[in-house]
Amino acid sequence: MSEVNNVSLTKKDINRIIARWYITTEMSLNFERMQSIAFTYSILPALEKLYTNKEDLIEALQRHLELFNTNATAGGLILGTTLAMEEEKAKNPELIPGESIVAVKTGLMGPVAAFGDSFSAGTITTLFILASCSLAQTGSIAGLGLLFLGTMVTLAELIFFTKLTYKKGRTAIKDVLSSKLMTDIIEGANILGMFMMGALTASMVSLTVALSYTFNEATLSVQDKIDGIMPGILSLAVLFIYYVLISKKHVSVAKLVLFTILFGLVGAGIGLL
Amino acid sequence: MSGTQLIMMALCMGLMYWIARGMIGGYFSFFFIASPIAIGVIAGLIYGDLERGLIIGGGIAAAFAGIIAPGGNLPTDSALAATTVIPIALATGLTAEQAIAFAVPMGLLGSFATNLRKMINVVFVHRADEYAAKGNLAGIKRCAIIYPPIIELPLLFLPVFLIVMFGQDAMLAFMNTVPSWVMHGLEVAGSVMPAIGFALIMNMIGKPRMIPYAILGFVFVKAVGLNVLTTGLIAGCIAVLVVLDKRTRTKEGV
Repeated sequence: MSEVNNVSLTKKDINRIIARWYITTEMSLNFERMQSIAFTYSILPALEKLYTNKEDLIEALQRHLELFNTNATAGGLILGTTLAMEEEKAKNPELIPGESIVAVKTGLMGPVAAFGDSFSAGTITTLFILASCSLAQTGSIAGLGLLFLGTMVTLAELIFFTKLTYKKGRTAIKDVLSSKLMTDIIEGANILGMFMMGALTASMVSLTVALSYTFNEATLSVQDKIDGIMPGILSLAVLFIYYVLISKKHVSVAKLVLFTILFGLVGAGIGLL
Repeated sequence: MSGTQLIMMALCMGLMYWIARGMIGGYFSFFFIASPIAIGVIAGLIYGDLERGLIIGGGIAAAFAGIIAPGGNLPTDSALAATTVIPIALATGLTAEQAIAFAVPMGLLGSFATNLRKMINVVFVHRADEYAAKGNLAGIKRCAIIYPPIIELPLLFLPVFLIVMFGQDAMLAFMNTVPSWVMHGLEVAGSVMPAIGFALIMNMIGKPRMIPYAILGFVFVKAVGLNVLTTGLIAGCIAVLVVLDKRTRTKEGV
């Protein structure tokens, strides 16, 4: 029989759990159950406090060792929800079966990963990384500072999401992911991101043709002709070739990198590039 | 580089790679310590040329930018590229472009190490199961933060340590024999590679209807000649305006 325990988690407990998750998420990453050990380890302080009965504690440990994998910083949404549910279960063991906690976790990990990988890791962090690169490439140590700032932004995101979902309980996450405001913010961030991908391609990707031909004793370079059509049109073309290969043909990144190396070598070898 | 400086460099690079890809420190190490910029700073400090460390590190980071790891699968490893190539580049006087050329193929090797590590760590899941059944919390803690880093130490630390220790002469010999078109070809690959990361992100965040934004961004920088920050500001304004417009229209029910 499960024991009823009316204890609540303190702010200190939550902070400790967030810190544990942030620092250890991928340390025990493995093919079989991905981040499950890290998740269980992170919420140990909560489980220990909530389940004073050893059998309940063991049951809780076992349900969190099930497969779990999500984006670490947006994963705060799941972390907070789980904590709220475990707390509720400790108070009211019959109302919330352990399976429902597992179901909520596994049901959410996909959407949260998609959101986190594209929004936090894809857009926000990449913009910080690229800005730090351009500073570092001028030899400025400020590049490192900016990178640090970007890292702290994702940490702040984790803290915010965990506390929000813990406070609001398990309904909050659905509200967050489907709220009008959130979809609008993501839409805006995506527009900004798309814009920046174009801008950054213009400033960081370069591809020039080395061919030239002689006509009436004047040497004409093919690159000049191409620039006459539109400056940098080759790098824009490269971007869209990759885009189509990724989105339509689902070519893996490793293959694309390999293909790019071969392309460079062959192109340089025959004097085209 | 030679003597204590070389040993110091090899030790630090090996440790940094271990921390970066063992993910010791979680997302802090993933974004910060694993970044070629941070690796470039440490290598630059040890070699005594912080500025070149930053320039080479920044160049390598840019080539690998945007290649994130969806689902924890790292397609190509910028940290392995940076920890092995930057020290050698500093010592042998490679330019940033040449360093990127070597970093690109090196990055591909890194995905083996990260996949191997994820296979090894499976052992600890089963161990954690046993500890869980006994309610042994300290055991689970060891599976989470003690065992994986220890078992990964030889796997991640040693290769980098050895390459930095003994790679310098090999690199110099290689530089003298390799035909110039090979170097040029790798440089071309390095300068095209950032587009892979950008395309990857475009595929994640943008529905096809958003492609015009990417083209606009490109034109603003390349043809209009604005810098990236100014373009970002314009992009931010456009994003706010588009979203606000959409909100008012849905409110009015138009």
